[in-house]
Amino acid sequence: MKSKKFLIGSVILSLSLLPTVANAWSGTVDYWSDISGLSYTWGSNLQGSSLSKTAFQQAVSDWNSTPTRVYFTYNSSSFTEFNTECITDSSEYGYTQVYSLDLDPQYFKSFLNVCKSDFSQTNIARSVANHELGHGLTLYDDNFTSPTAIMNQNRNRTNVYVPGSDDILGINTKYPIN
Amino acid sequence: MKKAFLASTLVLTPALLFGCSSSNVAVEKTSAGQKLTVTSHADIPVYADLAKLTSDADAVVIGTVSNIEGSRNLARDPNNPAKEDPNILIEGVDYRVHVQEYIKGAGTKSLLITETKQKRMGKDAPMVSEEGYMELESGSTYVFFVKKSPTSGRYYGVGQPFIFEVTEGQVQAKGKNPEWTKPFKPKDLTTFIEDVKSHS
Repeated sequence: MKSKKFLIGSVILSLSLLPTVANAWSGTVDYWSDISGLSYTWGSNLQGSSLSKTAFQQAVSDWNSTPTRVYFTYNSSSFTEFNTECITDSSEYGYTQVYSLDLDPQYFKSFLNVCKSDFSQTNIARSVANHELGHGLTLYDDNFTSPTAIMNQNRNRTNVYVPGSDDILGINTKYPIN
Repeated sequence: MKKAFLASTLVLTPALLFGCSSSNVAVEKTSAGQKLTVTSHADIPVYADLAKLTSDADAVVIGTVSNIEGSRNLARDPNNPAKEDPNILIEGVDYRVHVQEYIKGAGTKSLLITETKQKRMGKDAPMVSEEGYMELESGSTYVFFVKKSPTSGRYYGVGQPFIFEVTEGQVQAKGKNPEWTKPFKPKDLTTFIEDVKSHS
């Protein structure tokens, strides 16, 4: 009887000590079947060279360099598309829409807002492109857990422009290496 | 083959049933009976303290909403921002606000504040509600942290949260996402104004 009470008390105590912070990957229910072969193509506004295209190329390279299973490859017939948009009267730096069938992601579309006033400042486009690809990988926003997380909307976009340890932990938690 | 399947299920048979569910997610049913979910995420500045929120804003105003002046497409042609984007709709709602006080900045006694309400990323794409959109009530008073648009002359939110409701002398951050409002505890209006001024 005493040991049963002890056990129940231990379980309650353990649960109360669990971290209450919501990380970028907690609570997400959508999973790619394979993140090691995600294809992408360029949208209509990124056919030539531009700051935005370079930012996406850097982001692809940044994510591909992480110690995760993530690997993006170019394929002109891919449904996943990287593009730019001009949104006025908005504080948005960029956005991503993920299209899923029965919670299985099929493709995503990411946009950078070239009309944001500080968009061309150092590293900002790269920071936003990495954030948007993180959403494409099914990570969510993670605002106050880690200041160096690319999924943190409260980050300093000039200083934080590549995936951080929290983002990598998120990917490896959702998609274990082995 | 896979591409043809996707085209038939996602593009050629759009929006059969269901309609929208929660904000920033649209759910529809395809002709094949599968559930199509479109989840939208925006990278916007999110603030954790009043000091940064104030310093990033062009103006901080106390004002009362009178009416919705209209809505318009905030998506512009990247090559000519004077024109609307022909394919994408990003609906912005303009609220007419009568200003009681500029806590930071200066301007007219009446202004338009724009909020992004919903997005449709192609002519056949589903409309997805904006997570940050807060419907404002006519006659209600708010504190707004805003930037001034160099193109339209209207004002828009500096990030999240940017709307604080004033009720019976108390100021409280508004937002559908509790993570955005959590860092801002309710305060009495006088203290709130003093705090904003100290960061201006």
